[in-house]
Amino acid sequence: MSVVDTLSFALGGAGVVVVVIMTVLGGRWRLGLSLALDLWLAAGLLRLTADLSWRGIASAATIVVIRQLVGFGMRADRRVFDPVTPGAGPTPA
Amino acid sequence: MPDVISEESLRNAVDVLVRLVEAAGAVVIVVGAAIGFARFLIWLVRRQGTGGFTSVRLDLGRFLVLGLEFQLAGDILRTAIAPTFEDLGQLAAVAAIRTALNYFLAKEIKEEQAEIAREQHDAGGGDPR
Repeated sequence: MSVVDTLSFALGGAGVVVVVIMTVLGGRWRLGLSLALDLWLAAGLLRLTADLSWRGIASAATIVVIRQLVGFGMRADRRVFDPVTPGAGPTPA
Repeated sequence: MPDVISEESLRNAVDVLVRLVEAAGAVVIVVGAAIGFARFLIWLVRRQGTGGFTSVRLDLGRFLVLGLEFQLAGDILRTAIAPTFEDLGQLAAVAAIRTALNYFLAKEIKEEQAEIAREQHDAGGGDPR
């Protein structure tokens, strides 16, 4: 495994850790997912540095599109529901 | 009349520059992500509010934007030594992705800065709790 692959894998793992922690601690998975998407995006951009093939480009484009779609969905949710206040319970689904 | 610099030498020199610039972009992205993750852990331990979390994301977003700027510079330099149409096509696709991402990230940073300013204004105006 190259250095770039290792770092990319580490960033991907960090994103998973963030989502798990935020879900376990008070059900704030939306917040966790927003940060995790940024970390996965960083991983994708890093891989693109090393893998300039059509497959690498397609992977990076997919991550960007998913990130934008999920972000758009979460912002739409936020307009409907109140933001989570510290110490409060999980937000309604 | 012999060339001052041969095409091969120029191509090699630009190739080295491309690698350096892209490496700089990668370093910025990795460092930014590491700092972002560390700040997230600190936020978790200190049990700060949503504003603190937004600040973590904001700074990570800024690092990603800076890293993207370096990578875009590398893409532009690489067009100077792209020998085939397929290489140019791949470069165009990568540059399009990075430019679009740059735009979206800059927009999100602006929105999150406005959200932080709004929260600070609300907190300064009197906490209802």
